[in-house]
Amino acid sequence: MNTRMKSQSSPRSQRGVVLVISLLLLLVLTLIGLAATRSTTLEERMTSNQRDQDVAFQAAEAALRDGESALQAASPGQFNNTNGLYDSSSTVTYTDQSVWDSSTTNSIVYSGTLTPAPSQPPRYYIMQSASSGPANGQSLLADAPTVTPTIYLVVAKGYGLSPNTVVYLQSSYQR
Amino acid sequence: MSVKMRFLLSLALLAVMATVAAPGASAAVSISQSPLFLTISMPPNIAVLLDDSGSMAWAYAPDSMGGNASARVYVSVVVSSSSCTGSYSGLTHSKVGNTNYCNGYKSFSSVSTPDTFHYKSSSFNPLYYNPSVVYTAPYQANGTQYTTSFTAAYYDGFDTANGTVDLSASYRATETYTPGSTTGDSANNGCNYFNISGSCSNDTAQAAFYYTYTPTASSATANGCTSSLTDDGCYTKVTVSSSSGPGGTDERQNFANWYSFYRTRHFTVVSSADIAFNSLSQTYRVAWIDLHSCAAFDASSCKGWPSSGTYDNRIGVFTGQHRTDFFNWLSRFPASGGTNLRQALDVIGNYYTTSGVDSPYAFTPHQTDSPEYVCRPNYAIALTDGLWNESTGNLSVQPGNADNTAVTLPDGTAFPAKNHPYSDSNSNTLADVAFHYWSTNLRPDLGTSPSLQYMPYNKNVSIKDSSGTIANVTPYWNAQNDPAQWPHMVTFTVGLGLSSVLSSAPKWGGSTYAGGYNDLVTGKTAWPSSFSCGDVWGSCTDPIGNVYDLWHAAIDGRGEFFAADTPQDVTLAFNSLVTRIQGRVGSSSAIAVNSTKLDSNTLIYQAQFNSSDWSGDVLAYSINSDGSIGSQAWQASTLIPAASSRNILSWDATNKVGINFLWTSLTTSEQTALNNNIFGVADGNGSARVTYLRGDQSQEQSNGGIFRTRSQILGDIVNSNPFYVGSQDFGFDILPEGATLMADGVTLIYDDFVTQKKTRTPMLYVGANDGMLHAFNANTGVEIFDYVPRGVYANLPALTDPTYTHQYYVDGSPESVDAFYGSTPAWHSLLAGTAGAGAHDVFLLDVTNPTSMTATNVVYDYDGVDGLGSADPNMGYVLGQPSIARMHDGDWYMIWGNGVNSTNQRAVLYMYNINTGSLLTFDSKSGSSTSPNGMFSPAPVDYDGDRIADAIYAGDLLGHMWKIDVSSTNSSQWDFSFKSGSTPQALFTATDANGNVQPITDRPQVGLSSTGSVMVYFGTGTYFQTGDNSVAANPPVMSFYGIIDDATNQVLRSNLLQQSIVLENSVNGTNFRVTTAYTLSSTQQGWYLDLNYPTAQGERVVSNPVLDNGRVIFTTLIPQGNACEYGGISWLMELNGDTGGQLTVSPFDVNGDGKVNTNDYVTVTYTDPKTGQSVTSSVPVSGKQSDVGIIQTPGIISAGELEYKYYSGSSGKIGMTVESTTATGGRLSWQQLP
Repeated sequence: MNTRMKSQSSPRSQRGVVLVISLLLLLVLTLIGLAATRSTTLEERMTSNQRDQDVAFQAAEAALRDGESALQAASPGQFNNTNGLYDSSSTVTYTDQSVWDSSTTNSIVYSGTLTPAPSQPPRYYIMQSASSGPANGQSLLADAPTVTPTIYLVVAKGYGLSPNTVVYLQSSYQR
Repeated sequence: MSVKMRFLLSLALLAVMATVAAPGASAAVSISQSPLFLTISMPPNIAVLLDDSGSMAWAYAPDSMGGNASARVYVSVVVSSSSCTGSYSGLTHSKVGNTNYCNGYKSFSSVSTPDTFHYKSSSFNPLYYNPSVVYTAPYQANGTQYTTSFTAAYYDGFDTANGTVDLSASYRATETYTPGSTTGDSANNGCNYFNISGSCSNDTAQAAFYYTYTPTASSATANGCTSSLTDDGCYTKVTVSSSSGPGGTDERQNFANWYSFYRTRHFTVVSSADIAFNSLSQTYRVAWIDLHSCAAFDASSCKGWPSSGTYDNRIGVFTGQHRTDFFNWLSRFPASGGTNLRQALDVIGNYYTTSGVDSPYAFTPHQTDSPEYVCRPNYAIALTDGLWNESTGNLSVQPGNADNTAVTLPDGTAFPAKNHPYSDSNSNTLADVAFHYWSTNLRPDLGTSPSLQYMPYNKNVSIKDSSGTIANVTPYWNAQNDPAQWPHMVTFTVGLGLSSVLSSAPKWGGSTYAGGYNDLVTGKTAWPSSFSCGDVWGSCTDPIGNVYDLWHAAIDGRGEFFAADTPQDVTLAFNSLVTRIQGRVGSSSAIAVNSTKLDSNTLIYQAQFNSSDWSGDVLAYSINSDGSIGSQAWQASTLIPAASSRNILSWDATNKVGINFLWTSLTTSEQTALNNNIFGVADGNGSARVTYLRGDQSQEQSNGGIFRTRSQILGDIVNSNPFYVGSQDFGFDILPEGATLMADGVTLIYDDFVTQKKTRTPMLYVGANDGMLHAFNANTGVEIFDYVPRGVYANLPALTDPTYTHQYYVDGSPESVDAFYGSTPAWHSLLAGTAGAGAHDVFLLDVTNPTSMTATNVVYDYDGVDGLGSADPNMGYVLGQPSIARMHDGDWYMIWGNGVNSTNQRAVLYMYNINTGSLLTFDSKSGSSTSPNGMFSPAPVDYDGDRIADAIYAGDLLGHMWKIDVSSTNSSQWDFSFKSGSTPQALFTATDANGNVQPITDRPQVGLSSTGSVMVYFGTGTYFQTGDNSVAANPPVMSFYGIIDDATNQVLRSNLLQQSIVLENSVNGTNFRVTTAYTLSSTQQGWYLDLNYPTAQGERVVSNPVLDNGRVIFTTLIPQGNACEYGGISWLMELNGDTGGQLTVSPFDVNGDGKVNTNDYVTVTYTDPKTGQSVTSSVPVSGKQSDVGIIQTPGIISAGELEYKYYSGSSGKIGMTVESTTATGGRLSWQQLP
């Protein structure tokens, strides 16, 4: 009886392996499915970040152009280290976030509209740069003030849709 | 100053007004003493109306002096008794021999005025001989003076055939003298005394005499003088003799001149007109009429009093036969008939409506009709002794009450009825005639011209009348202005002997706009009723309104009225007319800017002059962000401090120190100069002159003093370019003394000095022809200090004289540079200036702290005379701009060219060592008395960028471009770069294609070409000599040069590339020029451009060229040009500095779209001068014509890719042009920051 009973137990255990394997396969498939889902979410997140970067970049470029056109204007204003206009003696740097504080006039806010609107409008400041030397096509008179064109640094900060997405651009502009 | 001198001077003034310069006896350069372009404005038409009515033959004025009047006269009667009682009571008894007399002064209610003593005194009868007046003999047509003598004085000085009188024995006072009469006077007016009934009882011919009014003299008091002008007891008789004149002088000739040329109204008018017109510009166009013998404009009907002889009195250029005719007619000017004044003015007005070859508008009268210029002004000048009295029916146009009838003026402005002070209630008056011909467009076919306007009062004014009512008057309705831009007639009136008649309201106050004028403006007083009693003379009892009508006509005709009582009044009236005709607001100096880059604080500064009273102004304007000219920021003439608080400095040449311009601080020689009057005769008024010059107006004539009346303190500014001194950085930080901190540890390095400069008051410096250099706060316009150069002292008295004729004082352009010097060396800002054509003088001021200037800040003043013992034979009128530069010997120098009219007449460069005080001269040895020369503005040049001058370039009057090598550290080694033996040679000699010398009067510009060659840019021509304003036929061709200085070779014109102007083109109403674009070959030494398109027309370059990013920019000047322009035209030229050819981009916004790009190219077809081929291409233009008259070097303000150029024109207006720039501008690099 005992033998019979023993001989009958083996096929039963084989059927249990299939279940385990199935469960394992299910687990693997689930894991694969989960992984796929997670990857998609990540890519979605990456795309979103990239777009935010683009928005910030374009905003910064817009502000930069705004600053350059201000320099083209007949009177850009006084470079006296206020209102976002700094002279060459100024120690202002773009990494100093107080420059960009929207509650101050340390920098100039972009005047146009952007679509999509970034979380904050982009800002810029302009700094006079040191002069270059005498050049061809210029007067050599020894009793005249030095006549070299001035170079300006325009520095702009653009924000993405998230306020934490920021882009800094700088151009040097001669006037 | 006595009346005598005034009269003399007024004649001198007239003489100077003649624009045709007398050829100088010597070969010295003849420097014009007033702005050249003024004298060549459109020659005006002047129609003169002289009154030849019968009353002009009278020897008194006004009319009331004729006939009988109450007076107190000297009575002398023979009586039988030995006492004076009864009808003789009041007289004094005397007995001579056996004859009893009663003598004394007695009042009568009616004695013949011509018999009285007071009739023979200029105090009562202004036409009688006045010993303090110089009676100048008038001029014949050929310019020689008429003559007469005391012992044989002509009855009629203009017609000697009428007989003479011996004034030493046979004189009688004249009552009436009719021209042509062969007797002195029909009446006997030598009366010595009256009989008891008040009739003259002793009338004898006697030695010439006059009476002086001496009411306070003791002798007069003894006569019972009542201080009345009609009391003969107040008069003292003077018999004319060799010592009876003022100060014991011989006045016999003067009396004879008066007798033969001035003793009646007729003679006074004829002689005054003769003298005034003798010096009238011979470019003016004159027509004349009178009331009877010459009453129409006709070729052959105008006559004088003789029955034969006619003159063409129509408009003609006042020269040659026409001028001769005028003077011949004057010499036979009649006096008979009524006073049909309205009719005569109407004839003139009507003449101004005509067209054609005989009209006032004809280009060459009676020869060429066209072109007829709209801008030719028409004047009528009426000179009369009184009241018009003719029938209205004779008028060609019966104006009715034109000046009280609402009408739309030709410019669209509504003229309302009851428009004070123009309107009245009288019809067909002289004023109505004047108004009609002012308010009507006399030649509608000619269009309009702004230059017809005369608007010296360009602001609203508040006029307060005698009862306190205020009227606000706009410039348009201000009678002192003439706003009409249409062809119209301006009426001036001169009334002889009428001022005493104008005594009721509105009372005459000495000028058109004084006295009761304010009451007329507010309407408080109406113009008095004029003669309107049925047009029949004699039926009116009170025609006083007809006298007022002369005044009213001048206001309606926008001219002026002069009530003249004496010959000199008439002369002064004519002077005022000529001054007014010539008077204009203009500007001939360059615009200064306070920044070369446009920002919100940018201001531009314009200096002006007003030639009517030689006042001046400096105006500051803000600049809008689009470059257009904004609002006026300040006006310096209104901001001059009170005389006592002005800080005025000067120079003591003896001790060589600065002083205050105060009487007590001046040196003896300066005091001596100021104590002289305009003739150089000491009068002891020196201290008062200093007070006057400092700005005190209490001693001006209008305030009862003796000095010239000024409308404002600031005098005219003509050739002095305002110079802005702010915080300019001269780049001296790279000098040894600029970078190293001095041992004292206190002295600033240059960068710190520049930083410090930013906190000081920015200043504007300009020389004015009121004797001073003025220093203004450039932000506010308030005057901070002044400087009177030593050299101008000799001429300062003229400035204070009422008969002042314009001359230059401080007319040179200043320049400021920083310098390091001193016993304790430190950085300073220096200002170098010159007196220009005003005097031989240069000066140097330390303006480091302009707001705290003291006498110690005057560094140097050199007039070439004082303190030397003998005059410096090389110092002339320094017309060029001085310079200051750091030299290789370590010191700073002030550098100037000697200018013209030095004793040696050579071109000499001066260098003054500011540190040591030594003076170096570099004598070119070029020039002589027969070939006068002078050095103009020097240009110190630094080749290598170390801010130390290596060479100095300067041009001269004989076309030389000198180069002086100053590269040695030893100043004794400095010398002309080129020499032949010991004779200096020029780097280049400018000549035209035929070898004629081209004078260089501008400052050369020196710069690097695009390939690094040193290039010297300059133009040629003069515009400072008398005659420079007129262009003869085939004038010399002037050029602009760009020559390469290779440091080795002299340059020849034959080695230069010739560029040419090939076309002038009008686009949207602006004229542009196209030039060739040839390229320079490697063997060529530069280029030139002849200014002879399409033919030589006198075009020249006299202002300094500018080099701006490879572009050479200069302005040219063509005197006259289009006749309706402002004395001339200018072109603003912009060329490629390397080749002198076209630029590769358009410099101007030609098509006016606000952008400067290839759309501004013009497509043109022209003949290439080199190949002879016809070329059609689309090219950028090279020049643009000024729209504001003659212009100087523009003030340039850059703004990125655009550039704004501002220039001040001879019209007084500021022009602006938007331009491209080849500056490497815009975005240079870009990066994203981490």
